[in-house]
Amino acid sequence: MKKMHKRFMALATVAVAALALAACGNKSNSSSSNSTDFKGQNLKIGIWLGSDQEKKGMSDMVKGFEKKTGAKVTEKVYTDFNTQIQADLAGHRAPDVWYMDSSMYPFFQKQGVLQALDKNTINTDNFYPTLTKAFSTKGKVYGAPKDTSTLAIYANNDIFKKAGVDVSSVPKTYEDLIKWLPGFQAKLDAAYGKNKVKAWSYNQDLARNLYILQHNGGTPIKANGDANLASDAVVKNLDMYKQLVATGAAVTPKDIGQGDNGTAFGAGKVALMEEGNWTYQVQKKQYKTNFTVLPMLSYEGKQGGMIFTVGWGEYANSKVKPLANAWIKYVTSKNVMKKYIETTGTLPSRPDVAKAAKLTANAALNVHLNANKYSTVWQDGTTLVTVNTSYQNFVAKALTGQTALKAAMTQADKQANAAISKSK
Amino acid sequence: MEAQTNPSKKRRFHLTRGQAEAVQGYAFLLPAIIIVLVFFLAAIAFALYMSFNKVNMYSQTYTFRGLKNYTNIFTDGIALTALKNTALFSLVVVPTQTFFALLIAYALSNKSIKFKKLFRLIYFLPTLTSSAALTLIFMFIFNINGPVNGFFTGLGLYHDPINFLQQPEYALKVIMVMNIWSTVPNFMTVYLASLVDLPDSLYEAADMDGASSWQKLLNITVPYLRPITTYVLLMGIIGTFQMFDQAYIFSNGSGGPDNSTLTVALMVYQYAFGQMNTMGYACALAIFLAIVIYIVARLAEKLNGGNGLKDM
Repeated sequence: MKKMHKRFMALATVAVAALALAACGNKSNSSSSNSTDFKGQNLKIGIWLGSDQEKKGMSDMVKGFEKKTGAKVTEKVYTDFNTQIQADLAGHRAPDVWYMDSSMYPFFQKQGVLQALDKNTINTDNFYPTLTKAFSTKGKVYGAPKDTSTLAIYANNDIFKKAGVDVSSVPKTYEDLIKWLPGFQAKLDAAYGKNKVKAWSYNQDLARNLYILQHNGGTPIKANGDANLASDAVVKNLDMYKQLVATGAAVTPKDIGQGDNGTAFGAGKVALMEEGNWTYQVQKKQYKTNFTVLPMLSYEGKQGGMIFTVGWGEYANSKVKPLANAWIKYVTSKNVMKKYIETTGTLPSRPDVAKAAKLTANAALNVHLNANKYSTVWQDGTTLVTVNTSYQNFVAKALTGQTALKAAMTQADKQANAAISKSK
Repeated sequence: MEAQTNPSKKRRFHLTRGQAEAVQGYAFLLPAIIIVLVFFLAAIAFALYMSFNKVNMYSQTYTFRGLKNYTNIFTDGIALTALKNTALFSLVVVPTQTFFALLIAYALSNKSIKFKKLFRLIYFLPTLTSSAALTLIFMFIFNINGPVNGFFTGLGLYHDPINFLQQPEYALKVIMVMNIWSTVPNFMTVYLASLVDLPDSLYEAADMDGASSWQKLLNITVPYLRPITTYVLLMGIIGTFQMFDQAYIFSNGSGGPDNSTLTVALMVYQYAFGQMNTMGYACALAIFLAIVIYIVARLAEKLNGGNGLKDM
């Protein structure tokens, strides 16, 4: 029996070895690292696609790059980016270049998975400085901003007309807005029936609220990454949203059973919304809404908004870094970016492209472009996503007045910090 | 050694029948054994190892930290909130789904019912729907502008529509309704399969004694199905304690509003794949959950009486 066991083990060993060899057979030969001729090389890009237009824009760029370099580009489209990229990075199978949201950049950088980009790949002088700064750490640039989006106020002209209110009467500050909303809501109720159309839709999301919470030196997240939502300055700023909700005219899309602002606005359920430029084409083409785009409001004398930007990051363990560099340089070059943003309807990360595409001539998009000047980039250290999850979990009951602001934010802090402390 | 190996060398390919069968047996088992080893045992062992470490998946570094991940479960109230939600969910869902599954199976096994196959098909449909699609459908049904609110306000039960999805006191209950609705058919089928084997003579004897349908259900069907009930309870407990997808879709992964839909499995996911390097804590939570499920399942088995699954 012992012999048999031995023979069996030998057989098993051979079988396992054969399996292992077969698995290794698939590995492609590594390419020489310093070549400039990219023929036959393969570049894996990790992206997500938000719309058909983005798909078209991406496939145009891939085709152009393949034609120019002779290399082959493989797309990996992520559906749940933050989870999937982590699995890929942990398994050392990440794409050579990938999309990186400004809010996630500090985390990736800290993990050491990003390759610093050289001057030849990205010339920071060509880009809006706020955007390249969002992907820089200690003087080195780790990401090339591919495009940008900003927030603005959208007003539904038809609803305003039916309510008998002029769009130009929309206040320019939050203080005035809070006083103005009840009267406007009363007119909407008179025109459409009670609460059929709401005056204002907003979001309970740090991605939208961060600039307000940071107002007057508020620090929702401490320098060491701890959540600090219950601090006096932040709670005082948050009170603005509470007053907004107390008007009875401001709702979140979910309050009225809509998926997001754009859907609620397109469906004619809200007269005004705070939304990014990605909704511009959707409102125009899909919902055929008749709207006016207004600049963001001021709060205590300071105009503010959010900037969302996505950059191309390069994998530190990429086997084809020269090719990856060439890709980043190509897709952020003036003409390619111009074509891309014209296809997708996003805003360029380069001022020269904005000029070439004559975006400033479009009054609506110009409002979004100008927002770059006063808005805050969606980024705040490595713990932002965790703090935001916690914030979203508890902010609703605070804004409706069920719980005191301070108490709810203390709970949010406690929950976020429990997670943060475990990672230290 | 030499002397010992020589005789066997001659008979190398002449195994006894028993030995040959053993080789054959192992050969057939091999694929399954490899899968079990790699995907179950190795994975469990690795999770156990990680649960005692602080893990950074990016740099593949493991720092031993003893039982700290486990003690952390009890030091903050969040894991306990999650456990409370999960336990409440299980406490409501498991008895309800078992009761309805038994009742429907009993009704469908009745010989005088017509279109039995059609009913079985219709009742089984919810189980065929993917739970992700189902969650979205229920989110539509319970939407503030949805049919449920329309129905109740139409009846005049209340005037202002309730936001079932956003209010902490309703959110988990909606998931409970959804879960019961989608799991009952599955367990009903299990009960039906066993009811087919129930000898008619028992019912006939009861009929002679003048028993009502209700008495027959309580005194014949339920005791006869006790081992099946044990199985249904176990599967129900395991399924409800591991509830993840519905809570995830419902709350967009946050477990909100106000932690009302935070389940232990969702928390494991949050810690494993959040923006933090807390895979170790996630593993500790997962193992803690496994232990809780084991204890609760054993308790339920004991409460149901009999020898549990051994009766089957």
